[in-house]
Amino acid sequence: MNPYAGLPSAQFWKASVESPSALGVDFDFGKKFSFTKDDIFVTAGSCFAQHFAKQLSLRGGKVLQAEQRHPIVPEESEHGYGAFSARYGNVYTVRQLRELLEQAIGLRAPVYEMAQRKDERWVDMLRPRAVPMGFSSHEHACADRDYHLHAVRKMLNDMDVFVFTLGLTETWLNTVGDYCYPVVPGAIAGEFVPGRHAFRNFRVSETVADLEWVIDLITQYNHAARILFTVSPVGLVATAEQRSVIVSTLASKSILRAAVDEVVGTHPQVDYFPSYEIITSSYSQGRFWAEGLRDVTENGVATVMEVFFNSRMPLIDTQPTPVQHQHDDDIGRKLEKAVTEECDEMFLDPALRSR
Amino acid sequence: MTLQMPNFYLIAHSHGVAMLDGISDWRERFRNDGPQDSRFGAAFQGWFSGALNHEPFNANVRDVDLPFKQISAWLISSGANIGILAQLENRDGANILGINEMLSSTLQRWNGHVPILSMLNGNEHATFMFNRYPAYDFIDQDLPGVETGVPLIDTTFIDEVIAGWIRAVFVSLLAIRHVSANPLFHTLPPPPREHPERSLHPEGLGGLVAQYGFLPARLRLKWYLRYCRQLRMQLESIGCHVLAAPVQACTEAGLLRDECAEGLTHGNANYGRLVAQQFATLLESQ
Repeated sequence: MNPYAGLPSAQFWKASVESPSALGVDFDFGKKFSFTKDDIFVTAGSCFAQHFAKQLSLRGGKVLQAEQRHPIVPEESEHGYGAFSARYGNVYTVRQLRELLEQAIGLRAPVYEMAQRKDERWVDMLRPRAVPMGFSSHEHACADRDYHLHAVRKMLNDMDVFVFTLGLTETWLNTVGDYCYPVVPGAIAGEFVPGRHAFRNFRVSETVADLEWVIDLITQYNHAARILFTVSPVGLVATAEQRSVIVSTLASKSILRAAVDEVVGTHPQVDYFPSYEIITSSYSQGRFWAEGLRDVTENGVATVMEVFFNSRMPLIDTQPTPVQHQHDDDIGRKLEKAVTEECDEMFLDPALRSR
Repeated sequence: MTLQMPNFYLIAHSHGVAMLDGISDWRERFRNDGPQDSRFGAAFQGWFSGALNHEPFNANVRDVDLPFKQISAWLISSGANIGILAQLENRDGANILGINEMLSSTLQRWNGHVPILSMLNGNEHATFMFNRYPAYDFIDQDLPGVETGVPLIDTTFIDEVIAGWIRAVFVSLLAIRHVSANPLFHTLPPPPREHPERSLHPEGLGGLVAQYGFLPARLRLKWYLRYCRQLRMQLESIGCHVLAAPVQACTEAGLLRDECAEGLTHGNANYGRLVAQQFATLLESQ
């Protein structure tokens, strides 16, 4: 007799890796809760989070759109609606999420840092690619930030499930205003000013503290809301640490993964979904990495979503457009292009930026 | 019998009715024996039926306080089927200005030094007076501030809408400028009415009123002011003087006073008189 005797097969390595298909592996074993088709989801986080919302919508799930394209705005314009539940763009760090929520509920004064691009359009430096076409004036950019924060506040109130994909620990801070940017000033717009802009790489303890703060805030604001964290498997484009970007990527992901584990264990309304492990674990043998070994293939995304829906929303009835594995490369390239276009981080690498 | 030269030529769509009613005896010359249309007030009976005269005509000015004695007016009613006055066509990369024959011949007859006053078009902004869309707002320099909690429409898209409104009147005036060397003036349309819901006559818009109701006054005014500002800039660039709505006809906020309004979108005889006074003042100052 030992404490492992009689445990489910998901808790044993050998039994877990026997399945030839990821769908046969119970990656999500031990989950705290499932969802129904009527649950209203909000998604935020890094690039990977966009896939979740898209796939959920395709399958008939409800993704809250707190900011929607107005009929006067042409559909084909680069308005930025629909990527996430509100036009916050990529929220890479937990600190960024915390500061967004603080502004939305009035615990912090709104940050109005706008910069003019070369095309003379204005961008909000706290979401520089959330509205790809930018704003027509500084005043418009500021007023839209107010509306955006209003929408985020409403979103918190109306949602049933908050899905947040943690992406990075590295960030750039505005030392004067004490807030962080999703992208270093100067990469997309604005100007990098040494002294005013400082690099910061959040530690496990800091990430845990920010996660705790976010959980408390959401729970206070919306008692019934459930929170689902995932960690993005997508690697860093560049690191500001004096070390290999590959080392920084693993360090960053490890910090995020550890921090999530800390908070999931202590909050019944908070859970984790292992998309990160589905993509990166040795079980997958690297087959979900796209060309360049940083992004995830369409097939990888589809597999993650299949696991999610099988485990968490088994009653959801519609299937998305079938993934065509034989043409995975073509589809993958298209998706990679789409993903690349949505990732602010790409602007850190001059070689990629000029593509 | 001496042939009296008119003090000015008036070329107008429906907004010209206000001025003619306000200062001239034109109604004595034309009879509208057609059926009455309850959607419109007395000023616009016969407007859509073609009962009104289609040709330029002379009218005497009754208002003795004005420096005008006679005007020659071409009132282009909806029932007249005159067609588009002018249009710009792009052929092989070049813009070709096409001019309505009747406009061209009228302008040739009017050729000289007598000012031409346009009250063409002007109701385009009224298409956005209804509450047809989810709540929204946009930034405009003439009316700072925005409604909180509603999405903001980028002015790029607002201006795309307005550009369509402007095109119609601008091309007509460009054509006039092209054919005629007379001093040219254009009167901006009256601003949105302060209490459109009090209008006794919904004109042809009763269905839209019932279905949608009206946009908040501030937003109606924003559309109007932005349209007027952009139109003025374009017209001045071709040497056309622009008259704004008379201040006396407007509320402090800039809306059209009910006592100066005819139906949902037009000025009445009071309004037309104020426009004429303003025009006279402008001519005197030149």
